[in-house]
Amino acid sequence: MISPWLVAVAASCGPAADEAEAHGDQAPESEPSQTEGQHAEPDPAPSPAPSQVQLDRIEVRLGALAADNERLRQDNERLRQDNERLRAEGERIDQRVESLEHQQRASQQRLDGMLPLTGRLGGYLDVGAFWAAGNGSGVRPDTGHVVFPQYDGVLPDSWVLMGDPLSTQVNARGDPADTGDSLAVVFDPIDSGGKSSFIANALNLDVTTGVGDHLFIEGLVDLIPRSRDVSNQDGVFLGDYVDVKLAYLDYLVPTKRFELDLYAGKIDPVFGYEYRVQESPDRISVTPSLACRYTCGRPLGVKARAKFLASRALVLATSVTNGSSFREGFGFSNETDTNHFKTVAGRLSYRFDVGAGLELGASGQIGAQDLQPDDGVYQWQYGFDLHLDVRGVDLAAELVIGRADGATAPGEVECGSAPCLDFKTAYGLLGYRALNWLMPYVRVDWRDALHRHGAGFVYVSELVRVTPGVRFELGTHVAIKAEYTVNRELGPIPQFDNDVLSTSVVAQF
Amino acid sequence: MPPTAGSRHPPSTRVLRSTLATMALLGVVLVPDTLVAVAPGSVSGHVTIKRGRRDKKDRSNVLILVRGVPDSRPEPLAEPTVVDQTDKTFNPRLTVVPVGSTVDFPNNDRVFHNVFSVSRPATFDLGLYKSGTSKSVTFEQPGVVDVYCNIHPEMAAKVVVVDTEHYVVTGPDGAFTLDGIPPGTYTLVAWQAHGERYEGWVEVGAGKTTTLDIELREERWPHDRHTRKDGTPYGRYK
Amino acid sequence: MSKRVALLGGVVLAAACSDEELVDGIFTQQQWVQIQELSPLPEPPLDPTNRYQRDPLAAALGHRLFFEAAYAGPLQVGDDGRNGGLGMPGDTGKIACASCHEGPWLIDLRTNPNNVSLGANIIPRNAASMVNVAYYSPWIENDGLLDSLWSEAMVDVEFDLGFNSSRLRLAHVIYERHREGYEAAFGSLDPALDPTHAEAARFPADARPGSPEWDAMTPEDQDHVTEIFVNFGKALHAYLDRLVSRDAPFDRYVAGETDAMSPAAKRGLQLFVGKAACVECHATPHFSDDDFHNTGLAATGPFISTEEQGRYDRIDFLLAHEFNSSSRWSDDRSTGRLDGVVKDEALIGTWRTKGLRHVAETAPYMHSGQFATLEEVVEFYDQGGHDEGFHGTKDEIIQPLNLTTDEKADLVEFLASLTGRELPPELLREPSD
Repeated sequence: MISPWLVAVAASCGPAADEAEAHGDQAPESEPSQTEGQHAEPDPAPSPAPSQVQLDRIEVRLGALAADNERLRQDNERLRQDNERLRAEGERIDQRVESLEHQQRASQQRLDGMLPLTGRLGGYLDVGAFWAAGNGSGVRPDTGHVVFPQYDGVLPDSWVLMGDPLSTQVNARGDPADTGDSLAVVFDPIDSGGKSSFIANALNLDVTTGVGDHLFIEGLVDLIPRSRDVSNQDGVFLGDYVDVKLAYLDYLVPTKRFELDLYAGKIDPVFGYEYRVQESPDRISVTPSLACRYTCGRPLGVKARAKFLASRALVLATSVTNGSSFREGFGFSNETDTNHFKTVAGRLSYRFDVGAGLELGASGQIGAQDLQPDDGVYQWQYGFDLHLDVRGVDLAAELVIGRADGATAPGEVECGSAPCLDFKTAYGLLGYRALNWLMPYVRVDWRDALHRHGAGFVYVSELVRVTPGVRFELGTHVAIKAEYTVNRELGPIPQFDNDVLSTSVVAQF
Repeated sequence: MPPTAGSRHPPSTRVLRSTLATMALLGVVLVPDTLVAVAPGSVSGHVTIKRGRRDKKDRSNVLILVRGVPDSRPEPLAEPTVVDQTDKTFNPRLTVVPVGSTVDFPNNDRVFHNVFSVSRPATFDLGLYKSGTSKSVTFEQPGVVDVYCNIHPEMAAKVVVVDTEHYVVTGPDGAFTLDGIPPGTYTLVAWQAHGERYEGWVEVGAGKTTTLDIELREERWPHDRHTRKDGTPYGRYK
Repeated sequence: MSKRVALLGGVVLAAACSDEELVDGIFTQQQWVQIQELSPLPEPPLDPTNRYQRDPLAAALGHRLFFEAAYAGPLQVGDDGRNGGLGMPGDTGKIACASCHEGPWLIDLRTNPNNVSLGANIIPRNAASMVNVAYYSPWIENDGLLDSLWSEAMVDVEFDLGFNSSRLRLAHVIYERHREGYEAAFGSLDPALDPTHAEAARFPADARPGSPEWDAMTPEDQDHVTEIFVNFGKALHAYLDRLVSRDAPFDRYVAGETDAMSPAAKRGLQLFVGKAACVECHATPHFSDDDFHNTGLAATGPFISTEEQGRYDRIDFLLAHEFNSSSRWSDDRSTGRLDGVVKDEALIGTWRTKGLRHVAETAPYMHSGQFATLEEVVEFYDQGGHDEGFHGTKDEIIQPLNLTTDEKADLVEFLASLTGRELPPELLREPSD
């Protein structure tokens, strides 16, 4: 746009300046070309002096030429301008096209995500090897009523069990190496008898589907390969089985003031922290804590979780479910309910802005006792949890205290109509991500519980465990974990062999 | 001239990125020749942010830019700017760069992250990468780019790509100064990540400083929920 | 890396400090102590109410009398071609003890249906094995009908469904056919028992308390006949006292022969004393605590009464019984067996714990004979008894056991290891001389 000016200035110094003046207010653009033309073509040699007529004719001719020249110049300039305009236009169109292409790509991606459904099949394979000392079980009968004579004459000595039936858990599922003499924990999914063994803990399938932006459906299933005694004619000896762990839909309510999720189905509980990291790839350690049996169960029902404040740091979750957050494998809980008083649970937590977050939570839960037909027999628990994630340090700690009232009919042995359970349990798990692929950890957990069912059984548990371990991560898909659990009985309970060495290789897909 | 007029616009419901995109298209402005080579002026002022009924103390991270300055063709930053990932947090959460600049996203956590964006001005997926490694994105289009991690839903950052050199981001005191603006009447925009935006005329006199105080209202309940890169929700509580 | 190994190593060392020493790699010391209480099988307990218990002459007589049928009264139910009846209705002299206690384990191999026994009529109980029966003390029979074996042996004689006979019939037969053996053991018999005797009328052919003929007798003659009757019982007790089977694989295992039992049977033993807690009632070397329990059995089966309330129904009978341990026929009335025995409602539906030696050979099971196999019995206990249909309150110790299929099989395997050596054949057949 500026260049024509410069060209014009240059032209005014040329030899044809007079002629330019002679042509008056002719467009200055015409000058330079004329000058150039004179330079380009040498002047013809002067002939004998031309006559005035000749001169006039030449003058006219020159005038015509100049006019032609001028017209051509103007055409040329117009074309040049057109050209320039078109080029700019082209550039703009290119830009626009590129931008549209971007938009289209993004839109396509979104569209793919929305229509009609977007589904995903994920999951993991968890295999390992373990060894549990003794007979693989975490309990021993009080043979001869030696330790707890108060139960002599009340129930058989072999039904007075000392220790913790789940203290010899060997995998993320929380399966004990053996249930041994246990009565309440009757499902013996490993039955190792204290022998070392390889194990395919689970082939996990995680089917998730988003329907639009606001609806999410998930099914989480463990396929569990377990030995089947083919020589047994009945052929019902455990065998491979399927554990549907989660089957729910999550409606992400489009709210502005707070973030709200509504869940229905077989859902994650709301109690404490550990349930969130109980799947093998999410769990730092190989095995669950002693508290997990009370907090990791996945009940059937409905749940709402809301995150408040601008920072979304305040989280309130509540649920109404069939039964408690006790784990089914524990034998205390069941999916379908046997009473009308549904279990109501809630958790309130606040996340402080420390590192990736310091989360403090308090949970409570109350309902009719699981597996009891009577709505008047209560079961409740409350707990506190802490989770800190800062600079590679992962610290989780929980305390859970609870009780199932049980029931005793007149003249019956205590807790004869419904089992009674009193428990206090806590754990702390400290992991340090020393390297991208290396995370040593140690967990200390403790449980003090009395679980009684009339003349049927008594479990007296008081124990502390120390579990050092290490987790290796090979890339994003494979983790190798190994840990050793030192299992120590407390109080009057004698020590027995029930330490556990457990490893796990988890491969996600 | 941009077709917008009037000293004060009501808060726009349109997201800024589309405005900036429009701006980019209409960026070529005809300005009288006489203004060339005249001493530039400047704009300075304060931003205050209302949150509910209260004044917010922290007035940082408000982007102030002057739109429509002729021949404003910002140079890309010479060195890449850095958006760090530590403790599952992007830091800073707001980054403003001129068009053509490169932003590095180093992972300083000992877990994997997967930085991505599905925003129109820049759609990218850097994939999983581990501690101590970094990946970069060059932003060629002006607009607001929402950057997330595909693994950790709580990680969110914004990169605003501007096609002018006349911009500044406020500090905690909310003060701002934009120098070197040729005299003229332009549109001044004050933009915040969550909340209303200011847009109004500003007259810049040769060698003079125009002062302007802006009051913004921050959104009390920022709606920041997003999906993963494939459009699906993040799923179970993480 | 080395640090980690050291850490784990230290932990392993710390853990390897248990004092748990297992017997045969299976049983804890305390469990083994319990197991040793189940073996070996000693001599049957001495019953001071029968001073002839270990008398060989009495035992020899008892042996003969076990096979004696001559005193049996008329059959009420005859052979219908299917029921294994002993003759035509009205036939007498057809029933011996051995009629319902035969074969190596002295059980009823004849009656059809086999859950009950057909004597003069159908006795609605499963006949017990007479092998090791002398270990029950003091309560005999599933319902604890009597408190000594000798008195129990007498009961069926005058029981209309059993022998449908009388003590006079019996006295005559003993005089006629076993006089020598009897007199050698117990002293002389009144010669007037000989029907050809001049005073034969003093002893009617067929009389028992309650009949006019009995009332017509002098008290002295009544006592003489009753004494013969009592001595019949004591002689049979002396014989039964010798029917002892020992040295089951289980006994040999406890004695140290580790491969006497199969691994499954050992697992079954562990369940027996452990999780299944069978040993709570099936204690002592003859595997019975000689006590009464309500197992929550809803009695069913052909001819089985659903009205029976076990021990509770028998208390009055026992306390008033002519031959109980406090009677004048008891050789020791100071045993105190009946002290504190009252008709307590807690006894409704209770039955005496059955001994388990050679149990695998004595199907069917329960007092009703309603379970054909041990698997069914184990299943019954695994379920924690029946839910309803029984009398009284189920013992609280009867709880669902949650045994696996394998565990149940192991228990049955263990029970099979309780079968001792068979009795010498001469004890099982009628003496030839």
